[in-house]
Amino acid sequence: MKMIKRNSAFLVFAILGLLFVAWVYLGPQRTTFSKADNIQKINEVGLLGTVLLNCADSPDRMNCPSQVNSQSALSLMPKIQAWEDDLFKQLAPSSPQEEAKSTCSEYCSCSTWARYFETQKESWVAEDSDLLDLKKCPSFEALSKEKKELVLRLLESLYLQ
Amino acid sequence: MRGLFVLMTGLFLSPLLIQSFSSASLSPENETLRPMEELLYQRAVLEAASDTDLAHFDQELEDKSFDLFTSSSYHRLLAQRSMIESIEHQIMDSQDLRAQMELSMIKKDWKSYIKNSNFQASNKQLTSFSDQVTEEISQIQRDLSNHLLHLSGGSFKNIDGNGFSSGRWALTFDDGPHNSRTLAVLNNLKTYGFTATFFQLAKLAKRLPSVTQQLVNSGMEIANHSYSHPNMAKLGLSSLETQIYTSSDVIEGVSKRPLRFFRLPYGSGQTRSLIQNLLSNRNLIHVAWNVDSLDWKDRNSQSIFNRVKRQMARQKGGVILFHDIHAQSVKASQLLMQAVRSGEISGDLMSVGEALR
Ligand SMILES: [Zn+2]
Repeated sequence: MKMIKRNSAFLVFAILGLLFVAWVYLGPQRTTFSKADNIQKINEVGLLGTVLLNCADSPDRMNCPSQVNSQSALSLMPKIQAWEDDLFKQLAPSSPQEEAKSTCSEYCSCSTWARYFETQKESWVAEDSDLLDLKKCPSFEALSKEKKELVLRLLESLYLQ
Repeated sequence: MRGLFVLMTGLFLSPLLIQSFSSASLSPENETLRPMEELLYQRAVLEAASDTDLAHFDQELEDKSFDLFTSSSYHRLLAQRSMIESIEHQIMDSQDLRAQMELSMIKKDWKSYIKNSNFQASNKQLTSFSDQVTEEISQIQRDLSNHLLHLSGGSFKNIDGNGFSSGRWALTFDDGPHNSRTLAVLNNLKTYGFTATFFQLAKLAKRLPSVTQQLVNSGMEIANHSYSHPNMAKLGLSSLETQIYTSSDVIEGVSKRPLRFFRLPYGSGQTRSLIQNLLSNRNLIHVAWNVDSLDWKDRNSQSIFNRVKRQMARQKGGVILFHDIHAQSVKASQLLMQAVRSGEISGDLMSVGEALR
């Protein structure tokens, strides 16, 4: 009897321990935090890509941040693609359709999200059509002050990659 | 103990450290030792150092960007191994049975050997020993680079299309095969009567062999775009071998044609000599591009086409990059084929192999 009591106490203890370990590794707070971070980063890199793409398309440098011209913007694009792919790998296989839809038009990153969901073999229709990224963020100068600072910061880390 | 480890590694890195180390704890005048004692002590020190370097090496291995040929702990381990072998030969060839016994003790437990050793190395002796190790390391680095030169079958070749004669445009599609879009592109190529080169991922070609075979049967050229599209600038040797050699085997197996061309994912890593050697060793020519459609970023086929047209107008000929996995790319490349056929854009579209002829 005493033995059974001790065994069941041990069992309860072990289960609680397992639950604790599971909570630490798979706990909702932890995953949501890094997932939200990841979504935000994809939006930001998507924005940088859109700005650089518009710059690459403007031979007169009019749409470009001051440190790039259309030629250098063009040569930076594969780096953007690699960066996005890296972020996609970190986010997969989660499917943040709602979050992406509600934030992508603000960052002109809907085309980036379209590509993410393509890699996940999922359909994606943003309410604000993802074809509008280039028109919504037509040039660096047209961005808000915050977004300009963000783009410059990201550009700097892109050069370091 | 950790302090000892650090000192031991430092011994091989900096004669300066040895200066302070020896003046602090070693007596400078002790030249009347049996020669074997000095060898045994060196043997023990080498054992300690290689323990430390092995730990470093294991740590470096965890890093994605690990490169065997540039890893300094790997170089040190190789240098240590060759010195250990030469010391052991000297000891075993000698008639000194005591030294031979002590050697087997060192192999079991170098820590207590060093602790109990009577040997007190002089400043001069230790410095010259450290010089020997340094010389050994640089010799190994020289050998390694010679070895790499031997490994490579020829010199690295890279094409970006800038030297192509006027009107010769190689049309290339990356990242496929895709079960519907690649076939849609193929259909367009047949309709307009052009050929193109498809830079495929081995992992997809393996999954969709019939798509690759249809391309080959229609006279299209198949090329290698790695196994799984990693950023190869960051990979170590064994992963690079998978991405270049294994993928080549897989794609050649599916297409039943010898491969001539390779394109690095993101064009990244072209300047790495290790990658260059692996490619030339397999007789693969790297193909970059000078017209980028950016069809992975832009979802609008008309603006993709305009972008390509504008870049083509700036140069005589070259290599045009599309991706046959996106819906917009199918349409945009069709607009290009149409424009070339109708004479709106002058020149001809063809595969890389044909453009080089
Ligand atoms: Zn690619």
